[in-house]
Amino acid sequence: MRQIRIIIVIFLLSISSSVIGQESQNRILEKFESGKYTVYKLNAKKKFEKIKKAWPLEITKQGANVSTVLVKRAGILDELFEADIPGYPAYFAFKNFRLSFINDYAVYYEWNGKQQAKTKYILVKPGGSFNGDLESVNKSVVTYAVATFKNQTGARANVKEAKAELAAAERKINSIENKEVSKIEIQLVSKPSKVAHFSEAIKYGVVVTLKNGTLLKTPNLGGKIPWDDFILSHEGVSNTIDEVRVDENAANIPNDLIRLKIASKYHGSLKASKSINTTNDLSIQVNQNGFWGWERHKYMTVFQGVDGQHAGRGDNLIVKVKTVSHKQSGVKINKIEIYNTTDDKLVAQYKLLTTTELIINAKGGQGDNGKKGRKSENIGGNGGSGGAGGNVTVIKDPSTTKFNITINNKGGKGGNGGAPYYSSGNKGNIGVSGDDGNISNQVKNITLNF
Amino acid sequence: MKKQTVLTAILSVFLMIGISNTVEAQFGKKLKTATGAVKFGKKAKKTSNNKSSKKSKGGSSFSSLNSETDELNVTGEYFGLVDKRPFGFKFIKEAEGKIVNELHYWEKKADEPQLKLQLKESYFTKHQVKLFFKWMSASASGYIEVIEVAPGVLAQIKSDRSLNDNDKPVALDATRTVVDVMAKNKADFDTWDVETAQAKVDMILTTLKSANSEKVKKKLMRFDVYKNYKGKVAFAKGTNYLRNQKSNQPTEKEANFVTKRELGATLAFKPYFKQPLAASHPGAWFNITYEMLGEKTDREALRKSSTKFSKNIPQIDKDQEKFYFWYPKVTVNTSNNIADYAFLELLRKTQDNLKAGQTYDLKITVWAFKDGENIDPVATGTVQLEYTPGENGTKKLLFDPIKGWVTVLEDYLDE
Repeated sequence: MRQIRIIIVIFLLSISSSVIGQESQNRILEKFESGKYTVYKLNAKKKFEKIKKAWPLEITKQGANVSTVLVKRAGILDELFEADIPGYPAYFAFKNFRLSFINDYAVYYEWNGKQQAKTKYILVKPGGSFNGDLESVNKSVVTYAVATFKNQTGARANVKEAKAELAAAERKINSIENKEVSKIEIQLVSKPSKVAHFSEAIKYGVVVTLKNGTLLKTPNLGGKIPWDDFILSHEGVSNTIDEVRVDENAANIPNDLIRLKIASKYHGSLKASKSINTTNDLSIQVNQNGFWGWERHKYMTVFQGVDGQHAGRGDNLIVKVKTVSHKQSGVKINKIEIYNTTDDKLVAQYKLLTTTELIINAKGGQGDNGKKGRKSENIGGNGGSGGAGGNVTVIKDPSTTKFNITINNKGGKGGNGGAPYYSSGNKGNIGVSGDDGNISNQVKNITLNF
Repeated sequence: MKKQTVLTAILSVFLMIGISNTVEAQFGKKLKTATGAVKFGKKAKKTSNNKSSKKSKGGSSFSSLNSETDELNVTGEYFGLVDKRPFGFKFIKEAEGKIVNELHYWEKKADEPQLKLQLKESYFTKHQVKLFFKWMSASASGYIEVIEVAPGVLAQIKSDRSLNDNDKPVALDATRTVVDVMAKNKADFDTWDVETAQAKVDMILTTLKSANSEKVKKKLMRFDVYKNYKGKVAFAKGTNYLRNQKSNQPTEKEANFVTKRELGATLAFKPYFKQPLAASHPGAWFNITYEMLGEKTDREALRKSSTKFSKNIPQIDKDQEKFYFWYPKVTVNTSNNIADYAFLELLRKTQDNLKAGQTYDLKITVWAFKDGENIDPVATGTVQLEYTPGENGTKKLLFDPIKGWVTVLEDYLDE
């Protein structure tokens, strides 16, 4: 019975000591005062050794909280340590260094993302004592800090709340919510000379005129209106703030113009839009090449011996083209659809001026080089075969008289033969080149649904 | 047997003495290497030892230098804290009609100095920092640097970097370790021990780094990509569009950036920061969150949630001193099958709400992260992800029964 009592007392004591260990620095620092602290530094043998000069520490309190600790290193260098979370600090920070007060002393340490402490100094308060070793000090700091972080939930929430309040207050000042607005406008920051698939970004901002004549702007125009004051519904371009890019798919640009459209979230009737005609004059390159021999393992399981891997063939493609008039400018443009019959996938739908070049690459991949030969053989590994070029079928609508297309569908080269194990042997054979792909042209009526 | 033990003990003692001499005579050792004359070095050591003993009787080898003055006020006789011998330093502004700005060093009396260190002029003219350096060989051990930490007190420094440019000291981000302190007045050692000198050197470096950071930022502002994207995240179809060859020269072309991409296809991204994280949030490292369709995943939170995520989501504790990530990140990369597991988890969470033909906004935020908390966003960006129709579009990329991104993650989590 007596033993049980002792166990209970020890258990309670251990709980209470662990609770004390998790107290915030504010509580712990009630037992500390500014003054000259005895310093122990780590020597080359990783042992703590007392240094001659005491360091002055100035502890600054704001009410019950300790806000800063000024360490006058060697009495001459000022290092101002600030509380991590003012209401419930676990440490005081100066650059990458931290200071946590434990027992009779402060531990001056570095902390890393793996939650490890690297103690540099021990600063013992006047009248205090220290006789720990590096390992136990590091461990006690980690135990204390990690436990205290968990207890900081409330204080951290307060900090977050305060930050959120600040942000909300700033938002309120800058937002057009609850403001009397007379109009909103879209202002272009930059517009590329070519407005086409893959052209450079069109940069824009929003200018709001209040009824009192004040002009408010989005951040990219030097103002502070939050972008989320607006609903974006752009057409033919990405629906993004700051900058938009012309859609890669012509099906999303039905009227050959892009339209930037915004509306105020808080003023139902306030809208603005800006239209820009597409120029369709940027050359496009479509790559549907076969993989190279050395990449074969990405596509299938390979068993690697001394011979190089065979390359993949270029994909087979059907390119359909029909000439129509640009819906805004009236110039002739080609509607082009590229279908990959190998992957059974629609690759692209573009609109290009009849003079703008479309480059189709459906080349076979290059074979992998042979490896160094085996000791038992007097020849190196053979090069892998090159892939065949893809077959490309171009189907032109009778309306198409001009189509600037370049097709590259040659077969890939075979890989080089590998060196023999002994120089007296022979190199492996060069891999067989892939066959060139066929190009066939057809003219027939076609319908393109974009 | 006993003889052998005694011999071993004697040899060990000699070895230990040898090691301690090496440690204590850092400057002297460098000097030997510099002159390439080991005999001379030994002679110098003997001479200096003799002088040291003479000194203890009141004599001094280089006291005559104390009467000389120079523009930087460094010339004089110094004593080492670790290597206790007296040394002579003399600043030479001009020689043979040319400005040389050299610090000459003697450890034995001779007409010619045993070492000539170079002043880093810009540090002095702009920040009044007196830093002298000398590359005696291309390796890190062949580098000697001296910084004045207080009037009449010099810190001798070694670095961890090998030679990059003979005419420049090691870069500011190199590790500099004070190995000895030299003072004109021995009483200064009460204040200036190695640790204190190290702290002062760190402070000086912070000033230089901060000024350098401003200079770097000014240079970066010459690049449209940095000017337009600082505080933002840029997106591209591959990491190759976001990489560049030289540090602080973001030559990537904005024309290659994208604002819309097929969902499940390779998407690389790169954040550009207004300030390096080390300056804006000292002691913090990076975290990334992904948001789409009202769901949010957080790399650090996931790391804490399971061993599987912990293993596959490494901490981003590099690039704190940079204005952008040196290596761009990817959400997924189909060419090498690499993905950010936090992004995959976002796809797994939102999979039931993804519909073919629809476009979704993906918001990426790069955070300053410390003590388990996202403190402040340091860069944000939004890209649109389009669920391409057809059996071979996004559906295949995400839900292929073997290789789909979501399938792979679900299989892994179900193991």
